[in-house]
Amino acid sequence: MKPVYVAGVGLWTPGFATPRAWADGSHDPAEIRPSCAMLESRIGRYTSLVTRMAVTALEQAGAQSGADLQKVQTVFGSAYGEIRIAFEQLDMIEREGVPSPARFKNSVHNTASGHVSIATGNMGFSTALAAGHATFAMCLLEAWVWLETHGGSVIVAVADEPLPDHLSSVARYDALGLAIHLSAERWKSGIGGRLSALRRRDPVTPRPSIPDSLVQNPSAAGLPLIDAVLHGRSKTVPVELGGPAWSVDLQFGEEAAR
Amino acid sequence: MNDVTVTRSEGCAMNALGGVAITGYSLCNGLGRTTEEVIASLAASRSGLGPPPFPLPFETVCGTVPGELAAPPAEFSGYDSRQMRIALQTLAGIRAPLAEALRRWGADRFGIVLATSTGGIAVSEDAYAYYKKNGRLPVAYDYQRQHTFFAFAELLRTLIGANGPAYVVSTACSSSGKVLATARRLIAADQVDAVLVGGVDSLAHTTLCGFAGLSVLSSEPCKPFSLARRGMSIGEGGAMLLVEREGDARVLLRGAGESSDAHHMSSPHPDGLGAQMAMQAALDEAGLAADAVDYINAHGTGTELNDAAEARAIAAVVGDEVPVVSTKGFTGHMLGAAGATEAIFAIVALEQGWIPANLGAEPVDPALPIRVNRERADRRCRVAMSNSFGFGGSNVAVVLEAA
Repeated sequence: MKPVYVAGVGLWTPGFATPRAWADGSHDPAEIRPSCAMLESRIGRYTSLVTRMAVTALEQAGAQSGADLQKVQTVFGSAYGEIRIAFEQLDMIEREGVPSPARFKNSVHNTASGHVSIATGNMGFSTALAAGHATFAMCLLEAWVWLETHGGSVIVAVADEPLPDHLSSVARYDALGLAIHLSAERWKSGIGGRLSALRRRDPVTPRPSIPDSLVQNPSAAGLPLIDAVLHGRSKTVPVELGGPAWSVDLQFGEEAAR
Repeated sequence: MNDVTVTRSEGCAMNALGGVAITGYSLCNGLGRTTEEVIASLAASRSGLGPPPFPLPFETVCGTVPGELAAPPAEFSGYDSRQMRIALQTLAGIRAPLAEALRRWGADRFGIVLATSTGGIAVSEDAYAYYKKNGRLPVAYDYQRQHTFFAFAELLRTLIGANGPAYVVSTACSSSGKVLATARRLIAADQVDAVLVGGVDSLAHTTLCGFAGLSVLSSEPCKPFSLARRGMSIGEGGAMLLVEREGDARVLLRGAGESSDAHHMSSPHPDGLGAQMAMQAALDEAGLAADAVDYINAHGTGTELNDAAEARAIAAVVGDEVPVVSTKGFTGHMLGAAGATEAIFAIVALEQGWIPANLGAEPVDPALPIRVNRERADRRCRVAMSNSFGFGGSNVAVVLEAA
């Protein structure tokens, strides 16, 4: 496939409200709720942390690139999706026979996709995927093949919230949402960088360093790419942790201008 | 039909992706456990809806896969769930063309893009009830392998030996229509040469109670497009299709169109504007005019709002003369399996020269500006369209053409 261009990135995790705060290591313990500015507060109340993170990261990526959020295509990803709402609904069914309509409407895997579409008036292509620990990689692939066949630009947003307490033996991790805005053509502004050669290959060495608090979060597979973009580093970057795994070549400067 | 201004999205000028071959398919749902059983019931206008398989605090009917379903092989018993069993039953029906495609293209060029709306939630319902009673989860419960969206795709990939891209699309009730569009793009972008696509969902309290909470669940078999429609019926099932770059095509997947309503999380745009966009995009991608469409398998849930919006959308895009059928009176709404199932029903119409009945349509709602096909009709069809719409305003239409 032809290379694609990075136009913007987004990131939210507890203590880090923006990609820049993450890159600078400026932790703010008061940062515990994604801003999710595009959603009306009454809607935001019913949405989960996973949806609010995805929406917030998408907003950040779009703001950095200056994307028209009414026109851009979107690909959302999460390994576990609306898992907390899923179990909240079971409690409601036990108590009341049926879950609340507000909970049920916000329980689908494409909840963030629907809310972004409604908030921005975007009637274009949007999808929501899951692929375990390859979720970020497969979201990149889905976006990339869209760009290859249709052109335009796509924002990929992935997020996973902590699992409910009774599933803590499965994995324990902090919440994380991140986004990357990709364009088929060189973008007029934004953060820059060119991606090529998305494919599965032997593990990239040295292995990227991911904080212990996030290493079990499936969406953390996107952190090395966001980090590399933020620091302007040309390198081969894994987009799936473990290996053999999916990785991508990121280039800046003259290489990226070709 | 409407005066809403649509903002054209980036990248909507479709490239000519060309048709891809559908070389095999398989079905399992309330009409039967095998493709042959399902199609025989469809041909005989025999509904698969009946009493729900577990107690519920309200009246409804469901499409339940009949009989016992085999568990996964012993070495994969940790993946066991009803969703997985339906997936394995469905996979068994497409094994022969699948093996041939794997030999032809190789494992690295073979992708898997499956769909589900609820994954293995039914297993977690039981496990969570056990947890609340006993303070611990059942020993046999494995959230990762029994509940998560990707689990069944992971096991199917292992069992068939595919090594290309593998993922699950989950956009509620449009999910397994969208996987056909994804497969087409993956092939056009030269990432794969063949893709196993489809969708699988099992019955669960979460979905039945959730739709009951929205007051859209019918107490009797659903009656799409009828004046007497009172809501939807839920079903379970699996549907799989083999999509190849080229080959011994049973039909061609000519086009797919996807859109968002940008209107409401659970109600369609009243004029079906997003649905119109998806249908028109599918025709544009196929390079076909609206009058080329011989038959439409509608989403047709049987709810007041869906059927009205979809009828307006169909009339706006293809007019009021094309036969329209919702097959949900046969199977119930199978959520993440609905789109692929109904695409296969459209394929059967193209292959066998008959259009199924729209069960329960009489008396057809006279306010709906479409031609509902009330009874099974022998009719040679060249081109069929299948619609799928979901929560979040997610829409997809696919255009299929006889080979």
